[in-house]
Amino acid sequence: MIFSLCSSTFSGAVNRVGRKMSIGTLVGIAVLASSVSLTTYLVIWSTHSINNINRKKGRTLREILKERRGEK
Amino acid sequence: MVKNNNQSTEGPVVHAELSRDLSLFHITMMGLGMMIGAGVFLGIGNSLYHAGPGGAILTFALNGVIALFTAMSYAELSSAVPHAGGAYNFARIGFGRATSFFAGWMEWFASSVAGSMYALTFAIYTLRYFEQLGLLSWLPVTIEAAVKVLAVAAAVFFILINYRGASETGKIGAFFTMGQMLFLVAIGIVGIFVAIRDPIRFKNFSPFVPYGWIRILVTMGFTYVAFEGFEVIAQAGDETIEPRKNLPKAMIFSVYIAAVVYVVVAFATIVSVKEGMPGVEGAPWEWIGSFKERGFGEAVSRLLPMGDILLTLAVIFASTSALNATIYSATRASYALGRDSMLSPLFSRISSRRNTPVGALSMTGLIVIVVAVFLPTLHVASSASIMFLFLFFMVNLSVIKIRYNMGDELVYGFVMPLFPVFPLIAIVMQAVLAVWLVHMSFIAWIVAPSWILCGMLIYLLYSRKHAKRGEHDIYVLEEEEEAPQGKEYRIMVSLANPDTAIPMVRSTYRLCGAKGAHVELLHMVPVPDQVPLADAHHYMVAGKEAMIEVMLYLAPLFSVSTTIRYCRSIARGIVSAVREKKIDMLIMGYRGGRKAHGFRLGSTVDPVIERAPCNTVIFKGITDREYRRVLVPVAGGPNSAFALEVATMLADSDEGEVVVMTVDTGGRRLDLAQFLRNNVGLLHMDRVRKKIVLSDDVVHAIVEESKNYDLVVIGISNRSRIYRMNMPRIIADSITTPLVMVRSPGGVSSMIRRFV
Repeated sequence: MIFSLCSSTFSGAVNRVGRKMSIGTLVGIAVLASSVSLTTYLVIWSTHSINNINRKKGRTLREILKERRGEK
Repeated sequence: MVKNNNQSTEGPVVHAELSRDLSLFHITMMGLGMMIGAGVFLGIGNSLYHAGPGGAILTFALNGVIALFTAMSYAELSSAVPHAGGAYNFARIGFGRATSFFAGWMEWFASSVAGSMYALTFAIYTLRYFEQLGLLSWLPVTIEAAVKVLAVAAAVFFILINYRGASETGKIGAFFTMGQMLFLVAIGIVGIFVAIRDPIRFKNFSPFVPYGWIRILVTMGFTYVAFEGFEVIAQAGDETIEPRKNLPKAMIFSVYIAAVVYVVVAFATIVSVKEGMPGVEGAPWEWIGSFKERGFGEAVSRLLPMGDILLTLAVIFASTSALNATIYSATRASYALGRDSMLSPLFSRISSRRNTPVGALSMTGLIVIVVAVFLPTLHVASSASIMFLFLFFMVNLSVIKIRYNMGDELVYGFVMPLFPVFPLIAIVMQAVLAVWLVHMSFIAWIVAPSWILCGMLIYLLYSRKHAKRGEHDIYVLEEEEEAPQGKEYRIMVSLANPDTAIPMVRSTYRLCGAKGAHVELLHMVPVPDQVPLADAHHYMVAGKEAMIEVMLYLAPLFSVSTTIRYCRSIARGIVSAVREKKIDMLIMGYRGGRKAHGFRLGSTVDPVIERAPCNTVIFKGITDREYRRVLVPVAGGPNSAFALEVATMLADSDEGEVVVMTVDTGGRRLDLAQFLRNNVGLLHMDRVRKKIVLSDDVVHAIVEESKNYDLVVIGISNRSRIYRMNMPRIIADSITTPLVMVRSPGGVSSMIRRFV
């Protein structure tokens, strides 16, 4: 019930405002979504990479780059 | 753990270490604490005024992306060179002394000017609240003048706090920052909820970018100061646990959290009012923007119940903690320049009374006050932003240079992807933002280059001739050997007072003998926050001699190792040493005397009792005598059995007698016979007696009874009723007999405390 209330309210809001959205607003929302997505992706990737590298208490640049390229 | 290879650790046996006790959580919060100081509070209103509603949100989102690129540069460099120094250090490694001088010079000014901005934010929001209550009508000066006066008062207050050496950074500061974060998150959630319930508020975003897209560059430059926290994380390199892993994570996490929170808070600010509300004139975003730096406050106070007071408190906490942090960060930067003889020796002068770098602090305070008084708030924020942009520009250049020149020599904990794309984008964008900032504040573009020009003159006329050369350009840190893996019992003796070291160690003799333990002697040397731990050897005084004396005493009979550790807080340092060295029993002394406010046994003993993950034994008034009659008051609590075990170990093995006493107050009574039967396996001697005393007053009964004994051993626990009633403190202060307080670890609450 709570979910349907929220979704109906939100879709109502989008319908009401969405019809009047200008190109500028749409571009702005796209830029906002892209920047949030990019930062989120980079943060997740970096965290995974840091954990991976530090499993062996840090490594040299050559070792890290070799591993990223898939070389042994 | 690191060893300081360059410092004064003469002699073959005692070596000095830096205490690492800041976790990922703490350094992330330190970074966030610096970021969420004023940038967001001052920035939202100004961004709305200059770039409109969509522009304000995109300002923070796009700044987050650029800041993340710079954070990745900081993360890579900090993981490869994980010790204090930040941009100053990276520039020195990458480009040499001249560039490092300018990095330090700019960092000093940037942090000081950020301090001025935080002081002004504190004053603006505090006076705004009192003005709304109508309490400022008596003021003989304008509000603007009053803001300046209050900002100077706040700055002077925190300069004095820094002079005293007290700081709320690290663990306590983390909780303040958590509070600020929760407040901002609450604003964001309420804003989203209000907008969904009342969709007409989405109209506040129309037009999205009324003044054109290019204006966003102006507001991005102005608010960039809100992302300057990773410098303080880099500065904590010497104090962080697993720095190669935690420093890069903290930098990236703090930027991401700050960016998301800022975007959500900017959204909430814009939807917090709607057209037609009482007092709101024109389009809501224009109305909020018209208040400029006060716009955030005006809007949010209408969003939350009791919004005014909550907002004022949040801003006061945020701005003052950031003011404190920037003052000590700026002091560190200028102290480092003085220490390396790049500035006058005045900057490296240490106060003989407070042990803090008084010269660097005074000069930092002077800048903070002068800028706060003579520059309008907008130009102060712009000057801070522009200087941080220059500084980060240099760090992004350093990461490229260091990777190409020295990449194969360094051990990395993080390596950024798509190198050198991200630092190059950051360099270009930071240059663009710095240039565009001229549209916001022309004065900032006079102040910042003037400062750099002054720096050039000083470098050419003074620093170039006086700077220390060469061998310490790259400060070499050595990783500590693996923690001990053996199963032998390990006892750590924390020696605080060299004068009482020998008597205390003599009393530990029996404990060590009974356990057949390896003994670890530890002396903690506290160092003020404003001084990097790498320079801590200035503070090591009598401790080393006492350590050698004690070691010579114990070495013939026990396996002994000794350590002198530099730390910010003695308690935190002891707890981290216990963890790292996998200690089974910690022994420390207690002097008693003046009570520290908010603590039961003292500011060092209390945190150790709460957090040390091992048995803890605390001696008070211990002498060299044999203990023939030992009293053990018990109440059946979690530490009674351990107290009994310690008592039997300390009592004279030939003639010693241990009396286990319980006080019968008429309520629930401990079955002493059963207690002794349960713990018979722990006892190291046969002469154990039991005694029941009838009394209404437990403390009085113990104090009276203790007069007939040579030693009292009592169990204390932060979980027990006895501890909460402050009995150990009263007993410790009341009895003249030597006292031993013991506590064994355990319990869920202890585990939580150890974690935080």
